[in-house]
Parts: sequence; structure tokens; C-alpha cells
Amino acid sequence: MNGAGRVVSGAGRVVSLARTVGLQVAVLAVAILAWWVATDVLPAPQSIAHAFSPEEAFPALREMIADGTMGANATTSLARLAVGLALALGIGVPVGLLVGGLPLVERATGGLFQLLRMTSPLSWAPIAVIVFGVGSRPVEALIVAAAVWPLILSTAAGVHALDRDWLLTARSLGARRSELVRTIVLPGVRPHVLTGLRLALGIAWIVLVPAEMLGVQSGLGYEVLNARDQLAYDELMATVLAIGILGYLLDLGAQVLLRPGGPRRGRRLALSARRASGPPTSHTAARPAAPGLAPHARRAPARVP
Amino acid sequence: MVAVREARYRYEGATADVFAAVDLELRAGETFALVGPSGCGKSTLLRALAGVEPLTEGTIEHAEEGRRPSLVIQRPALLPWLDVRANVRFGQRLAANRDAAGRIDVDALLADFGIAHVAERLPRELSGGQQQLVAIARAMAIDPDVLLLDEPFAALDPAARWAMQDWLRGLAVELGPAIVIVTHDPDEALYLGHRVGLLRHGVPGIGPIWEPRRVSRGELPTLPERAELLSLYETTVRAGRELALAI
Repeated sequence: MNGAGRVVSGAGRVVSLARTVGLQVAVLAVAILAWWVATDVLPAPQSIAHAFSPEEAFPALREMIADGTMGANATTSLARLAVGLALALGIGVPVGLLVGGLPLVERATGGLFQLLRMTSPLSWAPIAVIVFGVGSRPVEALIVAAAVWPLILSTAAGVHALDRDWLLTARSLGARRSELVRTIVLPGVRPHVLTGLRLALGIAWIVLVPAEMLGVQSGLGYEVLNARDQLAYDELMATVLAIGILGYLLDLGAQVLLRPGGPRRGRRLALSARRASGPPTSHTAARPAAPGLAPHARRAPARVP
Repeated sequence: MVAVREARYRYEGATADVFAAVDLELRAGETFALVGPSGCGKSTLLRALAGVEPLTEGTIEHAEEGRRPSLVIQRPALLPWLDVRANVRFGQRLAANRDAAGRIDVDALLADFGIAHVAERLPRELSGGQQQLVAIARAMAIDPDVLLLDEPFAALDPAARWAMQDWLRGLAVELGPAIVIVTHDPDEALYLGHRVGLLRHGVPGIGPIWEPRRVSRGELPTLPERAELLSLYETTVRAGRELALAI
């Protein structure tokens, strides 16, 4: 899993990655075997456990994908996740900037935030339904309640981690306060925000499923309860499987896309450059500039002292 | 031309001035080396000149409208998410320096500094000396009337430091703006400064101010100003130490 973020660079890495993936697949196979043993081999012939067996679940999963119910439910759930995370990002980053940037705000809100953070988001469920009614809104609200804290805390941590010399240099070049925020603070906290977003995504996915068991008629969480009510245990297990697989893929995608270095550039450049620049011994570094600097560098007419 | 008049600085709540009665006129093209032991206030004076630290008293006059000083500190402090070209262009994108973009061409500047071949690299891919060159190029890109260098080479290894000193001395006049370099190294001051001024604890103003002959690095010990500077430097360091012990 972690290896996914470190692909590239050298055959050795690829081999070790392949070995890791192979091992994980093997362990997964063992787990499915254990699942099969626990539901099909060990229980008595008439036991209800047989309904939960992988022999039932996988065909049910295929069927649910084929008839579109799985796609519809997954899409609904993912849309709620996206809306919730976007709202959490919209609230968490500005609040985190305030908390990280203003010591007074940080000291004043510390206790409240810790308390709210440690309050299970699901305990807000009845209130969310009262306030937002039935449908997707309360589910999204619960995702916000879960996801906003890691975003606030990591954004604030990002502000603290800003290099003071960046700010000093920018101010000495004439940057106004709003320019400091736009050119230094926002790009500077970006890696921390991405880390926070990854944490938030994990928490939000976990909260999403139980949140969908309240007051909605669609989504993966709803499907779990619906399958139980219809005694369709194969579908129930298929949905659980789908929740796990989707969550795994989301986390994997987040690891690749939300790597603090960003997917944009970096690795390849970094490697080639490290080779090229060599140790910092400087004669190359400080090669005197070409003669006739003035005419090129200064477009303004030369001033006489 | 930039002129400092009757500058005084005192930390809030402190009982003594960091510096006082500082008068200084800086002429385009000249390098003024401000030398003094740690804690004598030379960095504070430089930050006041840079406009990031308000003076307790006194004024700083800029003769030319629309031009400002720019500061380079000991650490290059480049923005790690921007490549070299974007770092150098940073100041030009600020509202305060809109005009500078028309006067200074960043790519020509990179070429003149010998760093055009690393324009697309990220700062972390450069050596310490190269990073400091980029930092100086960034400061030059806003077409400053005075370039303020605060111990700019102190963090470099000796070979890189000497190379950078030679480089700066070689083009200081061509660069255009007045340069103020703050250093605690008397030899660096004498090597780079057209004028060298000493800033001392508890002594008002900058002084004495020498105008040393331009000599090679090896000939520095033959400068008569050097003996005088070292002797005063030692006295002020000892005074500073006694002051520290007394407190």
C-alpha cells in the first residue's frame, strides 16, 4: 500500500514493490479462504452463516454491478463524500489559517476544538436530521463534522511550519499582507492541507456508511440495511465488500494524488538534478558573471553616482 | 541615492539604544561594508533600511521615486515550490514593483548571474552558493536603489564564500544600485567595501569609516586600515563581553 507512493526510480524498487503486492495478494487470498471456512465449512449445514459465504457474496456483487444498483449506490455515496469534503475544505482551511496565524485565536479555541474533535460525528446524527431534514444534506453535514478537524489542525500546523525568512524576504520586496497570504501562506501550507485532506478522506469514508443508515433511501450504507431487511445476506456481504474495495481505492488514489510533493513535478526532476548538480562545492556555483552585465540586466539608463 | 538621517533604534521596553545618531549616505554603484561584532545592531540597521523594521527615530530618504531597497539574508529563503526563474521573478509580481518588470528582464539577469542553465530547477536541487546567487538575483529583479546583504555568504563553505566574494566584487559597480553588506568578518568588509564602517556597542553613529585601497585577498594584511579596524574591533568585542558579564 505505502509502496504505491514510491513507485518509479530503479529496477530494485520495482522488484520490491512487486514482492510487496504479491505478498498482499497472498494474504488477501488467505483471508477469503478463512471467510469461506468460517461461513461454509465450519457451520452446520442448515446454518444461516452459509448465506454470508464468499460463494454467495461474489456472484451477488457481480449481479449488483450488472444490474446497476451497485453503481447507483456507489455514485450517490461518492457524491455525498465529495460534497462533504469540499465543504469541510472550504471551512477547515480558512479556520485553520486563522487559528495558525493568530495566536490569540489559537489559545482561545484550543479547548473547544479538542472537545468537538473528540465528539463522535455520528452523535450529531439526530440533530443533523432535525436541522437539515431527510436526504443527502444531513449525511453531508455529518461528513463535514468528521472531516473538518484534521483539515483545521493540519492547516494551522502548516501556518506554524512556514519559514519566517520567506515572509521576511517577501516583505522586504514590498509584499502587502494580502500578497503574503496569496504568494507565501497559501502555497506554503498546501502540503499540510493535502495531508489533512487525506486524513479527512479516511475519516469521512468511515463516517459516511453509518451516516447513510439514517434517513436516506440510497447509498452504500442504506444498501447494507436494506439488504438486511430483505434478508438478502449475499447482497449485504457484497455491499460490505464494495465499501471495503472503494475505500481502499480512494485511499490509494489519495496517496498518489495528494502526496505533499504533489503529482505535478518533483521526483523525476529531483533525481536528474541531484545527479547533475553534484556536491555544493561552488566554483561552478559562483562563476563570475559574463562581462558586460550592465547592458543586459538593466534596461534603465545607467545612472551616474 | 539613499540617505539615513539621525537613525535611532531601541527595542520596546529596553533601557538602551541598539544604535543611535546613525547618518549615512549611499551612492549608486558603491559598496558600503558595515562591520561589527554580533549583536551590535548592524542587522537591525539593515532591516530598518529594508523597511521591515521601523526606526525608533530618524528618517530614511530615497531620492528616486518608485524604487525601493531589497534585502538578502544569510539563508537564501527561496520558495521551494517555485523554480529558479519564478523565484527570481517573485518580487516583480508584487504590486509594489510593477514598474521594475519593464526595466529588468529576468532571463537576462539569470544569464548575467551565470544561473540561466538552472532556471527550471527547484531550489533544493541547487548548491548553497547557487541558491544564494538566486536570492541575490531575486533581490536585483525589482531594480532596487539599494541592495542590502545581511551576512550573505556566512553560511557557505570557504571555497564557495571566496568565489561569491570575488563574484560580487567583480560586478558590484556594474550592478547599479548602492550595496550595503553587513558582515562580522573584517576581512570580508575590507575586501568588498569601497567604504567600510564600524558599528560599535554604545558608540553613537557609524565610525570610523575607512576607504581602503582595492587589493587582492592576499594583500589584505598590508592594508593600514586593517590593523586599526582589528584593534577597534577587539576593543568593542571585549567591551561587549564585559557588558554581557556585568548583566
